Amino acid sequence: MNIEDKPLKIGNREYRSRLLVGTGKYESFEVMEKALRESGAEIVTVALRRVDLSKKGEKTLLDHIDPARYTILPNTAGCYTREDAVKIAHHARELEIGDLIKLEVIGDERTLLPDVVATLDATKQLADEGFTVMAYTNDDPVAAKQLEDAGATVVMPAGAPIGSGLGILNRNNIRLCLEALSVPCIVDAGVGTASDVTVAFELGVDGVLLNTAIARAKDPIAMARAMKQAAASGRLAYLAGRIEKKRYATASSPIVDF
Amino acid sequence: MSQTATRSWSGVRSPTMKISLNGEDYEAEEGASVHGLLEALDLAGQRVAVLLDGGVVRKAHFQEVHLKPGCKIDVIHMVGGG
Repeated sequence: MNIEDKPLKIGNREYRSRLLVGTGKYESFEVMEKALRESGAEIVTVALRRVDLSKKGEKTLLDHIDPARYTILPNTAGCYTREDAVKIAHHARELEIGDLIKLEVIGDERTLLPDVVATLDATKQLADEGFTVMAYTNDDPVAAKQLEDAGATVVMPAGAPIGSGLGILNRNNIRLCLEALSVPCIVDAGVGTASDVTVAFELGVDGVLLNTAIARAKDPIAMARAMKQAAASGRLAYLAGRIEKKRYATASSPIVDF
Repeated sequence: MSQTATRSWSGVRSPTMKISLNGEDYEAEEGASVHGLLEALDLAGQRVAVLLDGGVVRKAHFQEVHLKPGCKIDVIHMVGGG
């Protein structure tokens, strides 16, 4: 039996790749460009910052990411209030790359965990204004449902703190988020290595967004390839339907009868 | 980065005015439009968002909106991020 996966649907677009990759923390634009290609990602995240005028004439990020090839997903990284996040979303809209926004409102500088209340408020406002909101949140299934109800097109629970590499810290909560949501659920943040991605997909998530695990790996291009394989393998295992976990053995062969 | 004046093709210096550009003092051509400023910065035609005194200037208005002395301009673009 051949298992055919459906595409990942976000807004009115469909994607074959369920891996979303960030563009930050790479040692060079060239490494980033190759890693993105190896990962097979079709959606890449970017941040918004003031132009560094001292680097006039130098190549910029967009010289290395083709907007015709990738869906560019701007984020509101660095925002600690609803007002700031909404402002950044408005700035992003001026860049004419679509109405997708990855909404992050951070609650704590050390853990970079989200301020869920501010995220909820910003989601409502931006969804009303016509943005396609992909909301970064924690792994609380109650918050996940609230974000969907507030108008988030995608809910993005963190597996672990951003950049921590700790993987999926609470698999049960991610499962509960999936049960609570009818919109896509994409795990965002905390992935450290390939098995973390596989675990996430085996739980049934619709996608995984990662950045540091590739960008700061010793060989980002090899890691990007590993992540692509991990995503494919985890998703296929999920669709194939795993066996139950049992406390005791069940023999693979019938009982000896001689 | 600052310039004290800009020169036109005839070598005559055009008057300038001080504005704040991305948080730093900058001498812009007096009466410059947003478009003119972006051209001077080699940013015309690039994907940028422009804020004038904190408010978004729509791209369609870059030619019509002119800067005043002491105004605050922020030019924003995409950088790497997760």
